[in-house]
Amino acid sequence: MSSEDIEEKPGEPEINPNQGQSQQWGTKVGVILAVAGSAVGLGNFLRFPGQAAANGGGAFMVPYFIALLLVGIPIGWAEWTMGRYGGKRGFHSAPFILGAVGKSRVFRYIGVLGVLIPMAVSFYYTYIEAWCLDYAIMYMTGELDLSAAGGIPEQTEMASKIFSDTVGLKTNGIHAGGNLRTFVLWAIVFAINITLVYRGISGGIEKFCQLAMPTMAVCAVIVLLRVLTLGTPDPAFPDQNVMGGLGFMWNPNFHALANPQTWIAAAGQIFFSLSVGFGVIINYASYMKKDSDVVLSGVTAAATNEVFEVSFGGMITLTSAFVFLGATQATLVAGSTFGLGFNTFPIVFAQMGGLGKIIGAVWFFMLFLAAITSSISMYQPSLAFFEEALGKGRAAGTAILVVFCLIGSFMTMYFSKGLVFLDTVDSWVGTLGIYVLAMIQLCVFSYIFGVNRGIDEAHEGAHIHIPGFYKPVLAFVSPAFLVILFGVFSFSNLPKWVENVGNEPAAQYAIGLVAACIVALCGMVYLGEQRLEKRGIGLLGIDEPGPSSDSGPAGLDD
Amino acid sequence: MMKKRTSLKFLVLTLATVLLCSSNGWTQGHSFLKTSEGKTFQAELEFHRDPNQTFAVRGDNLVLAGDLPVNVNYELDYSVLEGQTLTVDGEQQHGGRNLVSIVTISGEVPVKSGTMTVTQVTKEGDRAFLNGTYELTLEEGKTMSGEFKLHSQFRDYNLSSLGWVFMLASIAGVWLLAIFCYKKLLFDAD
Repeated sequence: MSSEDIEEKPGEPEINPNQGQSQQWGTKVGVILAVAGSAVGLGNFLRFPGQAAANGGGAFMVPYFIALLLVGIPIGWAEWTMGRYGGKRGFHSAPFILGAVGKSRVFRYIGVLGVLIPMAVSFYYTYIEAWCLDYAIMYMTGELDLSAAGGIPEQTEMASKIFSDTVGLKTNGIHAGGNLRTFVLWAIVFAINITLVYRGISGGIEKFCQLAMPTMAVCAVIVLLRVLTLGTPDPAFPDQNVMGGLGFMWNPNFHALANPQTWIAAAGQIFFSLSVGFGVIINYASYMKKDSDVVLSGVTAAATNEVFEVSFGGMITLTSAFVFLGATQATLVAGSTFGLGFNTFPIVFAQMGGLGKIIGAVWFFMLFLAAITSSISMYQPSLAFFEEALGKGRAAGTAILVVFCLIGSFMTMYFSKGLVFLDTVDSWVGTLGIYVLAMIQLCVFSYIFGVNRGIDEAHEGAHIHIPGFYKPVLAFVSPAFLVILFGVFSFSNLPKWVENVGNEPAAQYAIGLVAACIVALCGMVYLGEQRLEKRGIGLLGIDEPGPSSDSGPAGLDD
Repeated sequence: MMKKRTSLKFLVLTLATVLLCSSNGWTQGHSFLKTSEGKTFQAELEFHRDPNQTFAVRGDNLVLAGDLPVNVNYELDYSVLEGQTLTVDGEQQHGGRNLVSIVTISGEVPVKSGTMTVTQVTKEGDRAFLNGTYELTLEEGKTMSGEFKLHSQFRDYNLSSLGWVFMLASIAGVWLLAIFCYKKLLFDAD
């Protein structure tokens, strides 16, 4: 079937090659900054340093880079390749792309995970984004000033109270504490996100990321320069200086390498940091031109993420916490992303004197940018799916997306006590779901599509070639790595999570919401299938337009 | 053929790096605190740089702070602690900070008091260890006891030569990769 065979219905944006052209990245750098923007988030600045310091410091970088080479980059390549392949077939959402690549209807339904994960994570991510914006505003207006609170114990107490009020930690309900203000900020942040996504791939997401990513880098450099010039701020504690802070983060402890937990932590960090198995890359890559370089794009996006994570996250966060709070306190907060970001950092900025307010504003604005470049990437896969499954156009797709997100985000904000609801969605969907989707995607790519065909497909338009040793890596090493990671992770976390769901009503609501979303999304896949079937579009989508269509689409008819 | 050699070289190099870096860890003992039920906390013992009578045990899910029976600093011969009992306090000023003793066993539990009795000081390589038994009284009337084998060295956090190497190599590595990719993408590709 060729593109000419598709029956045109006015007013209905159907799956066809023209749709792919109307939604396309404007520049080569645009897609990379968008993918990197999706990957660079709070975890780069707050999670990575804690993981590194707790698992061998500098020595952590050995398993970290090995995991980057053996897990992160190859899985990324698989996603980029499948995404662009799906785009050539006229598909832009994970369910229909996985159906085409996996050549089975089953994968369309399994592919629902590629819509569910980013959408469900967005329910709480925009809420966190609102916290970042709130803190940035409080610093800009001088409202957040812990230096008046007295000593560090008093400042710690005050920082905890501000955080608790901001997120509504103590009670449920959006009117609790200062949570109403956060709710208003969330509404603003949500509106910005939806506007950007509605404006489209090139006109909204790409343009914003081209502006936000360099701005984020400038903010990071400003904070880094301040941290590196802190010297020894308190002569009473000569050991608490910048060199000590850098040593706290980077001095290698080789004993940690003998501990399997270090390797699991490193692989997990790489895995979550690069946004692989998240449903975003596969969607973003589907808007690439058919001769775009997915191999180089994949490595470039990963490298951009690593620059932010290693050179900014690795230098700023724990160094400044150590300099002002000492080794013990820095160790205690290192494992807690929210604790480090929202409780400890305000104390650190309070120790910096007058400049601390400016640095605080820059820091939280940077976190806000990191969060918003990630959150817009979470909406786009869902929007693409609604458009594709229901065929009702972008405005209707956006309206459906807004309905889903209003319900999900409102529940997250309402059930704010102890952040149980948020943690449950994050654990079951934002963590476990990602493992599952990544394993499925990799298996589809390596064992159904085929590693050789996959690499050949990736090489179309590529300026660098995937080294030969990645064939066994993609076929055996990466899947094995993922299975081991998944097994260890499930063994150590699932019993606790199940128990938590049994005990906490908010956790049960969260699971109920996720289940309802899965049912609704599967229903939409079914409707989409019916719609496509009526139009004669099969599982594999449309034939690739252009010169290669004469001989059939790459690989599929082999 | 060349590709196969490259792959083999890469794998051998990776394996060699891992073995080299890990070998130190396999031959030397760990610093830990173990409960009578068999749960192990990785932890290290910290003294002041200057002679002082406070100490801290810090590790995964564990902070214990307390008093020493004698003045000790990190350069001292720790054999003076053999046979001595260290007192664990609920709260203690150590290193200019107020430390709260906490153990995390299915949730954080504050430690009210306790004792750590040093039975032996041993040397493994360049590391000195305090070995002994402990008893802790936790909140809600719970108790915890077991044995410990802890490093008794002052932890110097100043960026070491190896720290410099790892930090600069990591940062340079990611920047060089990014520069290579962007150069290729913007200037070399069509």
